[in-house]
Order: sequence, then C-alpha cells, then structure tokens
Amino acid sequence: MSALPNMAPEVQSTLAHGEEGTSRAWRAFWRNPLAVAGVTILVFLVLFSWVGPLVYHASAYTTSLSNIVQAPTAAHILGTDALGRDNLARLMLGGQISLIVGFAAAVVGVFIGVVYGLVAAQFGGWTDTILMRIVDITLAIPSIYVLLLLDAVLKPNVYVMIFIIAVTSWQGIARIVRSEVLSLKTREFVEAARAAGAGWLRIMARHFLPNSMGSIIVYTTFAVGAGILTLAGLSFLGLGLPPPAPNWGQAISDGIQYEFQNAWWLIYPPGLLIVAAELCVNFLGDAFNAAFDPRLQGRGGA
Amino acid sequence: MLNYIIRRLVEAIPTLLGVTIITFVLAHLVPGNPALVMLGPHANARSIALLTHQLGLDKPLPVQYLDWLWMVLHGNLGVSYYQNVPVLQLIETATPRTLAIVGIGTLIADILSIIQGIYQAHVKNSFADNLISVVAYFLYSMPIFWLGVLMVIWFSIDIPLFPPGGIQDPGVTNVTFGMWVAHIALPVITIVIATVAFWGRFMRSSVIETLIQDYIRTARAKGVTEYTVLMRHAFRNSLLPLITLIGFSIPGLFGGALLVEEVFNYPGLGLLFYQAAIQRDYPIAFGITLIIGILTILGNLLADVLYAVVDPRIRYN
Repeated sequence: MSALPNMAPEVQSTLAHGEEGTSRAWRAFWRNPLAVAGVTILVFLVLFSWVGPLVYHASAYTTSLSNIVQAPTAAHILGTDALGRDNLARLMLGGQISLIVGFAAAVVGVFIGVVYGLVAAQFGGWTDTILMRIVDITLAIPSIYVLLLLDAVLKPNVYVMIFIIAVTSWQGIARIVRSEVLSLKTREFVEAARAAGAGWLRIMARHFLPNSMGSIIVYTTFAVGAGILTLAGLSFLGLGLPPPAPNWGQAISDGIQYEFQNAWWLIYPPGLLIVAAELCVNFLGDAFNAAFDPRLQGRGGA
Repeated sequence: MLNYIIRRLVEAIPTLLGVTIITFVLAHLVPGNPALVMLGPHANARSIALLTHQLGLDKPLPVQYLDWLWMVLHGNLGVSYYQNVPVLQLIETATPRTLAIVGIGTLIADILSIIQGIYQAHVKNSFADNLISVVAYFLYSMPIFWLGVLMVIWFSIDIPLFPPGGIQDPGVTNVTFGMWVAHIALPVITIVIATVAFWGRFMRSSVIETLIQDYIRTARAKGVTEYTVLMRHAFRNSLLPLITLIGFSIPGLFGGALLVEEVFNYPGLGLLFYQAAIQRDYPIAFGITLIIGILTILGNLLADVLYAVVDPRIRYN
C-alpha cells in the first residue's frame, strides 16, 4: 500500500471511504458466480441441519442393538451406525454442531486477532515487537499439537471446543490488521481526524475498522472452514466432543471402524457433507476476496 | 548473505525458547501425575512419591524448565517415561519417516502444481481451465484424514495395490526398497492430493499476474515463442510466491502429517507425539515440539534464501 499514488482513483476512494467501497464490493460479490454457488450450498447445509430434523423424525439418540450397521432401508434412509442409531438423523444434528462450532470459533478467533493487531499497531515500539514475536512463536508450533495438549487439559464441551479452536487461529488476521492499520495511520484522513481532536478509540471505530472490513470478512469466511476441519480432525483423533452428541468428523471416525465391511453409508455421507461445507466457505471466501480487492476486478476472477 | 543467515539464526533462538516455554506450560497444565499413570492403580503412596521425586516432578515449574533446558543444551532430550528409551533415539527413528512422506509429498506436489498453474494460465478462462479449477476446489475441500481413508478403501481394500498402513509387512524383519515404497505410497499420495490443488491454484494466479507485466509484452513483441515466454519468464517469476507459501506451510504440513500418520498407522513424529500427549509422556512431547519448531524456522529461512537465489533483485544486508 506504499504505492498508493500509482493506484487508480477508484482504488483510493475505496480505501478512503469505507462505506461506499463496501456497497460497491457487495454488488461485485453478487455478480460473481462463485458467490451464488457458495450461498446455494450454504442454504442447502442450513436447511439440511436445521429444517431436516423437523421433516425427518427419526431419533439421533435411540439405540437399537438388533439393527447395528444396517444398510439403508425405508425406515433408516441412510442406514444405522454401530449402536443402531439412525445415521441421517445423526448427520443432521451433527451438522448443527459442526457448523456452529466452526462459525463461533472463527468469530471468536477473528475478534481476538483484530483486537491484538489493533493494539500492536496502535502502541508500536516494544509492545508491537513483543506482541508480533509472540505471533511468530505460536506459529512455529503446528496448531494440532497445541490442540492435542489443550484438549487433554480442558476436557472439551462445545464452548471449550470453540475456545480452543479460536486460540489456535487468530494469528493470521492479527498480522493483517496490524499491517493495514500501520499503513492507514500515515494517511491524510486519519491525520485530519486526529488533528480534529478524535481519540484513538474513535479513530479505530470510524476509520481503521471500516477500512479493514474487507480483509476481516474474507479471513473470517476461511476461518469457518478451518474451524470445521479442526473439529473434524480432533474428533477423528478421538479428542472431539463427548458422546453421544454427533458431529461430522466423529461420524467419519466411527464409520471407518467398518471400512473393511464396506459400510459406505457411514463413510461417504459425513465426508461429503464436510466437503460441501468447505466448498461453501472456499467459494464465498474467494468471492469476498475478489469483491473487496479492487485489483482483482474485471480480470476474470481470482 | 552469510551475515543475514547468521542474524536470522540468532533471532530464531528467542522464538525457540518461546516455543519450549509454551509447550512446557501447556503440558504441565494437564492434570494427572505421570508417576501415577506409570505405576498403575495399585501403587502405594510411597512409591508414587519416590518416582515423582526421581522424575523431578515435585520441583517448581521454572526449575523443571531450566533443568530440561540445561539437559537439551547438552544434547540430551531426556528419557521417555513409558518406553524407558532416550527421547533422542525415538525422535531419530521417527523424524526420517515423517520427512520421507512430507518431503516426497511436497516435492511431487510442487512439480505438479507448477505444471498445473502454468497450463491453466496458458489456457486461461477456457473450458479446461474452469474444469481444473472446479476439480481443485473439490480436492482441497476434503478433510485430509477422510481422503486417507478413501485411499485405503479404494487402493488397499477394493483394489489391493498397496498395504493399508504401517512401515513393513507383518512378520518381515528386513525392509527392502520396494516394500518401503509400497508402504509410503498411500500416505504420500494423500499429502500430494491435499496440497497440490491449493498450490496449483496459487500458481495459476501468480503466473497470470506475471503474464500481464510489460516485459512479457516486450518479449512477445520481439517474437519470442509462447513456450519461451512461459518457461523462461512466467515460470521463474512465479516461483517466488510459491517458495514463500511453501515456507509458511511447513507447520501445516506437519499438522497434516499427524492425521495422515494416524490414518495409515505410520510411526512418524506425528503418531509419536499423539501417543505422548495422551500418555502424558512429557519428554517426548517437548522434544518433538522443539524439533518441529527448529524445522519450521529453518524452513522459513530456507524459503527466504531461495527467494534471493531465484530473484537477483533481492539483496539481504
């Protein structure tokens, strides 16, 4: 962004007037086929997870030991699991848990990262150096390793799980917000606001946040996908949420016990649902990215 | 350049100390005395106290940390609580195994993603380009452990091409090269599929970015063939962002390796760490995070140095 004078006027106005830029970005977003595909999948997943149980009445918890690992029938559309529970009902309920944990972890993680980045950029000097060094340190440990230890310490329920996924996924947005704020700090409209007597909280709220909103939305979108994958990975390692509550990763983990029996209904549907959720956030994230980054517009997509 | 490398290595020391402190604190937050777990439910209070003392677990945490650090500086990572084997020995066995699947997987994924990126940029916005993009979206949307499970089902159970896991055939003591290849094949294929799609997409936009530069237009105007433009100019300039991306992907690759090793029951660093975390085998867990921290920092440094090699404009002072 140091090359601002060379940018097209429309780019400069996007950066200078957050709100106008945002509404232009939204129009660009909706014209992108990726956005339409992403929203379509999102609607499908929400309908499947929340409206599905209203239509499909089988219980996700009732066990039936005479019907274990049963292939799909009229009574159990996607068969039954190792305890004879209805697979489809569990995938619907598991969808609620997987999507909520992924979304909430992303929002909490991004909130931590944004505050962290704002503080580092605002205070500068030693505070900034130390805060950014902490980011480097936490990034040198693969997050699954930290998650394994945290998971062992904290005995997760849904809230704890959201927390531990969030505390391993805030570093990227902290770096982005910090560098954006550092470059914005030198801009004239911020200096003008400061000269007019605006305090730093007001400058943050009125100038920094609206201008970083594009990056924050893009990052949050991808973070939702990462959160869903993390929950799935931990569940696969046997460190997910306590039974009997279902989630998609747990479903895969349970299903592969039967990989040699060809229990395809336990292995493919949960995996495909996770793929659908990941496709959704990847489509939406790329569409947001193209919409908020004016350099990518009119160049045939990202 | 040498000065730069030395400075970066010196700067890495506080980062590594930070990594060990974080792991240390995290591990000691875990409730449960390893001595209790080691001796089993029938141990009496006296032997538990004795073992706790022998392991140094009754000392204050900062003292335990400094003891450990002192040991590490002497090239000793301690002894595993459960296996009663030096941690260094366990790590020395496991590291080449993990590096084999991660290294070979990354190398193949690099080559394929460069080919994919250049081809897609060359046929930009055509049917083939869009088709590859859609397939790439699907591939990198797959959870890596699910992909691994599918590999086992398809290429080990349905079509018995490769063994489903482990590092050697049961009952065999001398591992031949062919057996080694057969056992790492599925883990490597899994890592390649999971990473190539993302990097290839990245290469595509990077090559497209390069192809609109003025010097490319000049080269084309001078009548340089499209092949030369792609191979000489676009390829070399697009390597830069890929190198950085790979440098930053190293912790992620080790994270993915943990899940892949679990799927294939492949006894590398990831599986070793996973078992250590569950059994509260602190010396192993600390040793592995230290090794991965070092590999990550070296990887980032290597990426920066390669950057300067590929791009003569970059000078480090």
